[in-house]
Amino acid sequence: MNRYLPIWGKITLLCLLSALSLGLVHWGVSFRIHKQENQTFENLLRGWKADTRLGKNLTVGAERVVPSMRFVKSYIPVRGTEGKTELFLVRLFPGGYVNHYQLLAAYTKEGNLVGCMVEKEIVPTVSTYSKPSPALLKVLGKGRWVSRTSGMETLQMESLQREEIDAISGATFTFLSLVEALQEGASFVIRGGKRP
Amino acid sequence: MSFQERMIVKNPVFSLGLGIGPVLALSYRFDTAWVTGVLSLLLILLGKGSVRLVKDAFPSAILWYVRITILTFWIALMEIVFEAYLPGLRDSLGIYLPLLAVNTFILEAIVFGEQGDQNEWYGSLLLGLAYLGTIAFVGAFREIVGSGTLTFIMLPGWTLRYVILGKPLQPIRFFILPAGGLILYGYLKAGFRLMVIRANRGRIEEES
Repeated sequence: MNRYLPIWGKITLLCLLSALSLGLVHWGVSFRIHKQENQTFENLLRGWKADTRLGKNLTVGAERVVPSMRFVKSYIPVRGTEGKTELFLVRLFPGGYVNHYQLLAAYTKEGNLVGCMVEKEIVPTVSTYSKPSPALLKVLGKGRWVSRTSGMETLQMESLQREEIDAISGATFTFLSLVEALQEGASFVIRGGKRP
Repeated sequence: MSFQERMIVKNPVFSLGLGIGPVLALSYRFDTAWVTGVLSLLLILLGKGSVRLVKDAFPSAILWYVRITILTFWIALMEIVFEAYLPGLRDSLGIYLPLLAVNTFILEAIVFGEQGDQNEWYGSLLLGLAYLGTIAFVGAFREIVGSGTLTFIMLPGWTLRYVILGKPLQPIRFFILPAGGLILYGYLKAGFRLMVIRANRGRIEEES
């Protein structure tokens, strides 16, 4: 082998083989990842209608990236049986003091929050151990707080009172940025998925 | 090197100060702690086996680059599989799952530095087991004291968890937070140091 390939060629070959293997594995399990994602969406959308079934009465569209907005990073339109957009799934990056996390929020086209969850976080334990504080319970209208780990609804939210600034679990998960992100998401949806 | 020596005198976490990040960040629950330990052990052995296969094709000067490439491949593979089948665990491990590649790489470098090519499988196995034992111990302690429970495994829709501290005992929640982990690390490090000093003193007295 040393006769035919120089060192850089061998390293390139190794990287190519690794990438190809990873691609094949990802392709092999992608149906499962897709199923997990659909399950997450369904959990979230059950705040709107309890019998929500993706693929039956609702269809999830392709994700669209939203550039140059503070919190809204992308959205996914969810269409009803007639093909009209009924709901929006919005991915938000509220940021934080030391932790960065990604929220997934579901809104009706009128901008009402249906459900909300911490989808991803850089530092674990935030969504695993944090329970929304009493002040946060009043924030999200009739939206539901959904835990991804357990896949179950944990708490019901009441009316929005933005001035009650609090933290869910210390400074790592700031309440203000979360509320601002959800509000930006709502106004984005009210404008029909357009930037201001 | 015996297991006892690796576990106490040359403990990777408390004596050598390696892999502290995952120990502090992922030992808030016992299940994430032991899974991290097992993954580290698995990575050490997989990395070593894979490097053995391609060792002859590369000069020794660039073998470390090959090693890190192979470790990142294995960790990326684990990440994809976890994403598909164990998303809860993937979320619990967070950013520390890909970082295990670097962690394992450094642990491997220590074994290589200590022993060269002599008994490298045994040395790696010992190191992986010592790391697993350490992180599992810290995880069990933090969860019992901090949450009052001991979670063995958490799968979608199924959790094996024992309640250890019931009423009137209250768990000290501070210990499951990163600051609690850091303070516990300090006390354990001091304890390990004390054990090493006492063992050395006893040995010197015996010799004299």
